[in-house]
Amino acid sequence: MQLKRAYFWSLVAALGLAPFSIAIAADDSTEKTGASSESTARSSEQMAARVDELMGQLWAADKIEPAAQSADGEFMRRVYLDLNGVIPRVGDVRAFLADNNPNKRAELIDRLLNSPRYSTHMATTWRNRILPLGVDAQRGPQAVALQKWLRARFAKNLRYDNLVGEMLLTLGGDELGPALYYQANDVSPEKLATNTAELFLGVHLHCAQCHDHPTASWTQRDFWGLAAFFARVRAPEDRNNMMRMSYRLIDADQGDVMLPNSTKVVSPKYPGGDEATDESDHTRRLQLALWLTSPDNQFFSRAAVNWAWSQLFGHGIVESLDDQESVNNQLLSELADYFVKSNFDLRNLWRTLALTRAYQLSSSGDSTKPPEHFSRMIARPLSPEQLFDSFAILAPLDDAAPRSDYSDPNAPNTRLAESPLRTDFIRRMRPPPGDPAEYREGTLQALLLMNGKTMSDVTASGRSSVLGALEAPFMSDNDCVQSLFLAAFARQPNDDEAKSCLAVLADAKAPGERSKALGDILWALVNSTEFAFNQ
Amino acid sequence: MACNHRGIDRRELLRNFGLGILGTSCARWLPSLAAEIAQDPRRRRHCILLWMSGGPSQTDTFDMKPGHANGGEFKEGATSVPGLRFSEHLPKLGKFGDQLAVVRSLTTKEGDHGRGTHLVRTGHSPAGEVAYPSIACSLAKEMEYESVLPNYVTVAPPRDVNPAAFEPGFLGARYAPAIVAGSGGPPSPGSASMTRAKPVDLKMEDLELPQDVSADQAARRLALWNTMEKKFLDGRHTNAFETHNALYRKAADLMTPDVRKAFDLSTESDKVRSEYGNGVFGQGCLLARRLVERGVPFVEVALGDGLGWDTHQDNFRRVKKLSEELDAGWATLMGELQERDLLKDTTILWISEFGRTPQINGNAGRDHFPAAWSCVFAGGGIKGGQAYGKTSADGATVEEKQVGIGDVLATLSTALGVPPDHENMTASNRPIKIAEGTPIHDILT
Repeated sequence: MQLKRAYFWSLVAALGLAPFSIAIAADDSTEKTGASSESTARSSEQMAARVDELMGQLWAADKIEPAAQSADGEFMRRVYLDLNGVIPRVGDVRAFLADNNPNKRAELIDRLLNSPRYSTHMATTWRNRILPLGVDAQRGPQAVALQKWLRARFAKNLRYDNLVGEMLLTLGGDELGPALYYQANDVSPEKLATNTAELFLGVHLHCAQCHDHPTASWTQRDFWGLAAFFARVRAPEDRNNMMRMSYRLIDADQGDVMLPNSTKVVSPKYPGGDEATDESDHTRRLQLALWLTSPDNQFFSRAAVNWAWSQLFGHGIVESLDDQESVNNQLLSELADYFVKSNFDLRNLWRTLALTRAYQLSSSGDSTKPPEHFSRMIARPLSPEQLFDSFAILAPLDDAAPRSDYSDPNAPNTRLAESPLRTDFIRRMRPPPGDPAEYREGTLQALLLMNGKTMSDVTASGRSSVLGALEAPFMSDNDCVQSLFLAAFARQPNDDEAKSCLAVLADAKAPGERSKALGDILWALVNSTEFAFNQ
Repeated sequence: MACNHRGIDRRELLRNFGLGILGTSCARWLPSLAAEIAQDPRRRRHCILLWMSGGPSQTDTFDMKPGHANGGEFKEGATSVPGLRFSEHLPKLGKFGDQLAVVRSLTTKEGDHGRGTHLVRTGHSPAGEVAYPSIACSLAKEMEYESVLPNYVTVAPPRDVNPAAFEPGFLGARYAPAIVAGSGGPPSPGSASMTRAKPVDLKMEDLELPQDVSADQAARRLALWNTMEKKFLDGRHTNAFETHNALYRKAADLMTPDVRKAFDLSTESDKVRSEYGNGVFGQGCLLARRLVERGVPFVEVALGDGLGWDTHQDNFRRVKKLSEELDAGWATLMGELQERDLLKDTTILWISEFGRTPQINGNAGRDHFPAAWSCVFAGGGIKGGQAYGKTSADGATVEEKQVGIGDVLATLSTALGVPPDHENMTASNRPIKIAEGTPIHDILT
């Protein structure tokens, strides 16, 4: 494994100042995908069992009774939303619930990880992580280009260390994608240091930007030392950059950062580590990328694992990587080690986490237990993308008609456009930053969901694929209600719920009335709290 | 919640929300809330932003240059304050001269509609990569209070000029405005004119049921929704679930006839409606008065469909017409707010993306001009009856007390009781001030 890594970086070093070619080399080389890693690392089943063991010890020590295992439908909807970003189709739900294969959950996880929707969903997730809120609106085509760039890499399951390295070393150019990270941070060393530390080291270095804090583990030297690695990245103000035809980045020979309100130049220094030297043949950026993505850099692997866990559980393994006291430190260390040993294989990491008992616990149960015990699943609201794409599972929502806007018709990458209906929905639904388990929308968002065009399309009998299937003559009222529940919640209605819905259908016997009533039931389900959350 | 002025427990309030269609009506608490507001020593304040899209000519409105070649066709008109003069086409507004503070020394650096709109509305040029919120969104966020009505309502915003300038940016979509448009699709130049025979009706986006859904059907949907929600929430005590449920109830309340009445201008007399002017701007001003009466903190009304004030040609005929529309809507609004004793708590800002050249071009028009232009403050927190700052005799440069857009936005913020240096955090924990500038203390009370 070390060999493969060394091979990649020797390529980087050999090509020296032409990371654009590196990107090509990385694309072509299957050496760097993490797929063939079983020989050295444990299987994800073994690692998941180890996680179960550690969680079991935690629960026993704190005398906590974890929730029951999730029902099949509950698990299915959850893992679909987490790994593919959509709810399952009603046909797939029926098949999964009817399947008696004891290994069906693991098989479902594998199917989802190999679906094209996996790469799309991961690209969306990372795009939202990388870009500050609202940047999408200003930089539509660039954001879509970044999404495509990410998507291609998740589809190949590019090693995580190489993915991050490639992004940090981008020279931009016609390849708009990863350069947007630099553009969105104004190519500012301070902003790049702040965000790089948060995204890839999982630490909040910016607190040390102005001065040292007596209680914090990071010093002002750490912050500015990291910023210094970005001090020589430039976006030349040439014609192409100005015209936004492309975005080119260069590594200049000169450029330094200084402490605030001083003329003291700060040399590059790895956070919590050694100083770097400009004597090296490598650019400052390359030196940083090599250090950052090194298997020995525990912050890198721990940050990745902690973030992945928080995606699936609504809460990180630890609140902060600086917290040495957390009850979950052992768990975090072992998972991080495993991630490194399995060649930074992202698919394998998702598979491992999704196989754990903790991930497959039910979300119902006592909510007073501390979240870091993971003794039941924490419900999280669907993201705007998950919501829209799930609606699109229920009814086709494509709108081919282009909307007139102020964008330049001569701009390149005109195909870098997303569905205007979807973009508009996401813009109007994007919640403010905050706790991923909280519902952070407002009344206007509720109105949009109740009365907006998207909901009309979902619940219109002529359009909705789910409602369309209910028109068949052999479908009894009971069958219809059951189908709607499976479509929306991936579960059967209970007697009470079925009764309420059947009463609505009983009042609507005329042919036109009946399809309207079915639309009304779907409206009530899709607007429900249960639908709005991934549980 | 950001501002819980009256110490009402938010939960309690949400629980007490009527459910309109579903059950209790919320009509009961609307008046009681109003009474409570009146008693509150830290009384509620409101803001009305009058947005003049396209860039009105300061030389033909609030900074006249009589006797100079740049002065143009219009004569000066007197106001209620000796020495303070506006254009002859703003006679009704002139009667409120003692309430108005004209800032004649505003200088900005963006002369393109899109960029200027972004600069004035957010305080920042669009070059930066932070998605700055519109000043309206950030002020409305600070002035937020629990009510069934939206916090920030905007009438006919010309969003296409620069969408980001009308949005909450990094604050998130929940701080976006409720958008009100003239009924019957996007208003055409004709429909916005105040010369139309009948006043336009205004509609809030997504507040009405979709066309193919009857009121009965909507009631059936909500009733079923409510039954199912009760079953789901029973025994699940998760805050996030309750928040979701409460928001839907609040939205349902907003849709009840009692509340929708706030947007229904047909309950106003024909006389009042026509005094405001029959166009979108006039009726928007009337709606602003109705919403302020009901406690809505922030209302914005745009004049000049698209870029109506962009008078590169035929400046004088067009500005005269727009001025008449402005005069009717704004002056009637001032009068009605004053009658209701609401003007002292309502700050009004009249502004646009830039002004227009003092020189008259070959097409009897005036072009974009950010170097020396005017904006106008009125009402609560504002020391009226004055012109602040001064431009040269030809209007080309600022001669006294130059201010920038940050100063104007900081002044508005201060007048509303919101500290302009209050910071919101971006997702990457960058603090962003509401307005970066110095309040113009001379025009603040």
